[in-house]
Amino acid sequence: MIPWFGKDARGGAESECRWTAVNLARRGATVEILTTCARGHAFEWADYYDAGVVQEDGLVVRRFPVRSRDAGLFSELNRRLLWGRVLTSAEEERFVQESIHSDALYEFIEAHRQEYWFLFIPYLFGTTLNGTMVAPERSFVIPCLHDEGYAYLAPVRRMLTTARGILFHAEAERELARKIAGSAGEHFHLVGEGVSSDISGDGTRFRRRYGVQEPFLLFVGRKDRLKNTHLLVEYFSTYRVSHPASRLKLVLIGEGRVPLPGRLHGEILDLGVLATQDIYDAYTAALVLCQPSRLESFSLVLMEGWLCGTPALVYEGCAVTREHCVASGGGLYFSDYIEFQECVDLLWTDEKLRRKMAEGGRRYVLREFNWDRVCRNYFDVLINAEA
Amino acid sequence: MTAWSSGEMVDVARIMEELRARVAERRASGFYSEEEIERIARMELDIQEALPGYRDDLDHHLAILNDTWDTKTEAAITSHRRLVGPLIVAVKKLFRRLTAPYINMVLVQQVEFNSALVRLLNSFAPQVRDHLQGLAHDLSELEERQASSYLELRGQIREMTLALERFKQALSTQAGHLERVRGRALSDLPKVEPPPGTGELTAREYLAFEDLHRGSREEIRERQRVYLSDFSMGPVLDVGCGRGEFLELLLEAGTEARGIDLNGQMVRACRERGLDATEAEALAYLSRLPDRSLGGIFCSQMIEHLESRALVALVQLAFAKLKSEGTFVAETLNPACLTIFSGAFYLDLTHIKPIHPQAAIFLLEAAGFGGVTVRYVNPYPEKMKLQLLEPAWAKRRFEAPLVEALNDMIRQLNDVLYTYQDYAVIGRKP
Repeated sequence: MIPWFGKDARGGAESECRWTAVNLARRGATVEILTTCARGHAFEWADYYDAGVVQEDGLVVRRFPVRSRDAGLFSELNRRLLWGRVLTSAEEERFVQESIHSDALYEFIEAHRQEYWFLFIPYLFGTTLNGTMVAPERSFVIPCLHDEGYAYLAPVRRMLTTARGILFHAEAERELARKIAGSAGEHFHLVGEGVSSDISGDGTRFRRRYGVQEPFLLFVGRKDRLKNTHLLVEYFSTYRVSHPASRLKLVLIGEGRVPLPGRLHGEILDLGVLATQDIYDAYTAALVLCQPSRLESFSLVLMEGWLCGTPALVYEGCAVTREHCVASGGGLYFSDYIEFQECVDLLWTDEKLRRKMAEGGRRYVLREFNWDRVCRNYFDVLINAEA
Repeated sequence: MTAWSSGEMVDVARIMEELRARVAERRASGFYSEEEIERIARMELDIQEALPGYRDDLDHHLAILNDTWDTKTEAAITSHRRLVGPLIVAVKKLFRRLTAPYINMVLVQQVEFNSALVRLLNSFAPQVRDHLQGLAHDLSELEERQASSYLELRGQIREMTLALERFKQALSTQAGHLERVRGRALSDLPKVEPPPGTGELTAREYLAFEDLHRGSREEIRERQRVYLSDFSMGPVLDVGCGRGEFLELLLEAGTEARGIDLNGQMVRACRERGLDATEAEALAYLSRLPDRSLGGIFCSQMIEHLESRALVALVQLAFAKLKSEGTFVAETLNPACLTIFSGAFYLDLTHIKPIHPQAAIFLLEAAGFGGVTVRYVNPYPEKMKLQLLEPAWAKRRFEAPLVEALNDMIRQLNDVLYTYQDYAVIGRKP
């Protein structure tokens, strides 16, 4: 169960939903996608696809019409949440009720509650928050939880404590859920997220195609303040100003815009959205993959970087990415500019360390997040629930 | 250097420990200058701070200006060519020495200008920052004050609502008391009998009244068209057929139809149009008809002219005279729309009693009708309703909740004052 499904529904949760479903189905489970007729997060949350049943990627996809909503009120409350304001409990409820919903979907869940286990992904949408309340004893949530204002809304806490089970990507994410729910979470299971291991990049091809000959730090993902892209640009600019002899560049890949200092024109390259293989090539070509975001529940980018042979540099305040780095030995972390500078200097000068880190990261991904293992975790949880 | 990478896995925690120790050491030895640390400390990884953006941008640009104002500073001349490199460097340095005096003539003024400007900006920056912080502080204070006055207002509204409730109760007690007094007074009064030849409206007078207030024939035809689909078989009897608008519609649709009306003038007007109409009183006429002889019975704006007992009798007779699957439709004024009492209901002197939709449903079901439903018709036009308020744009954050509370009340008032003016109760004989 995901709010939107289709070629325009991009994002971590959307891609996780698709590949988890495909891989569970390959291993013998009967999997269907329940979703709304909406096109995607970046589009108007209204009917775009026809309601009904279609086949996509060998999966049955059932789409249900969207309930009409007060988008203006939702944006206003959303804006206040983003600015760190506290909402009254009535406003919190309104925020949830003006999110995306489908009454027909809830009726379907009610009517077929005995026939399915319902797995909802991700947490912050009306369809998940209300959908889990229709048949809580048959509902699991893959929350993709971040330490952000939304996570502390009362309806989220209610969902975390009422659903049959909550499935997490990482221990740090489960810890956050325990803090929010205020409970030990007997029903909190660590399942991880599957990563396709058959990816590889060609660094030379990337350098030739995009004309980047110098060593570079790489950022991949949506460029916005919540992902800390602005800060990375600021730190990198400071680094270059205080290291005038350095040839190091910063390459940004992904949606969104970030203001770039004119003085470093040509030193920071914003390549925008690239084809998937080009991104893999960029990982391989990069000196270090920099993931400064503090809001990650898994970070697929980190895993892909390791699979393509690149060490990582992450922000210490994001428990999930830091945990990955420590557990794999695949990356360093920083909490302020001076540490950022020291980490970059160290990685820049020690090629052997870079190689060892990338190898450690790769081994970690293949060991912990291969599809066989992740699917077995899912099956274990569901078989236990059935018993 | 590789002590921490011994074994298979890199010990990241240990590297970080060493790295931090090195940073602490360098700080202690003055490797990072005080200003550097202060400037860097301001760039905290705090998303909340980063959101408004102005502070970071200000510091960032100021730092660049402080770094670059001295345009006279000479870049080092180097060359990466191994053999001819030193020669190139020497030539370039000579060229620079020859041209420097002329270039500096211009640059000195530029540097003076730059340094004055940067000094000015540096002295302004803290003030601007303080000023912005002060504004943010004032704004949050203002918000708090607004929030508390909002709460106060809410309290006052609540009190007023309670006072109104109490007033309403007292009024209703008084009304009951007055009603009893009036009852006693009326029973004490001698019964007034109007003299012969007075106290009745003539048929002609009522027709003129209907022409004036009920609406044109075309309007009534359009309004009654919605009921056509309720009658699937004939013959249909229009009780209180008036000027025959619905009879005409039925005949046009190919359904056999006839009408009765108390008013001889109306009946004559119908006959002049070639319609089958009879001057008759409804209960008497219906009771003479054979049972199960009608396909449908239609009463438009008629049942409010009846006393309670007559109304019950009408519904019972209607049930008896309808064939199986025959339909009974009665349209009347909707008493749940209170403004009909300042208009339509008391405008007509011959109206006796408004009938509540729930009472109408009960009447039909008690008589044996099945699938009884109510259809609300003739809504007040939107523009005649009480209009919702909009908060003033500049004060919308504070006014919006208050305006929303008032708008809720306006919506409630619209629901009881300006809703559907009529309804029809519809039943089918099983």
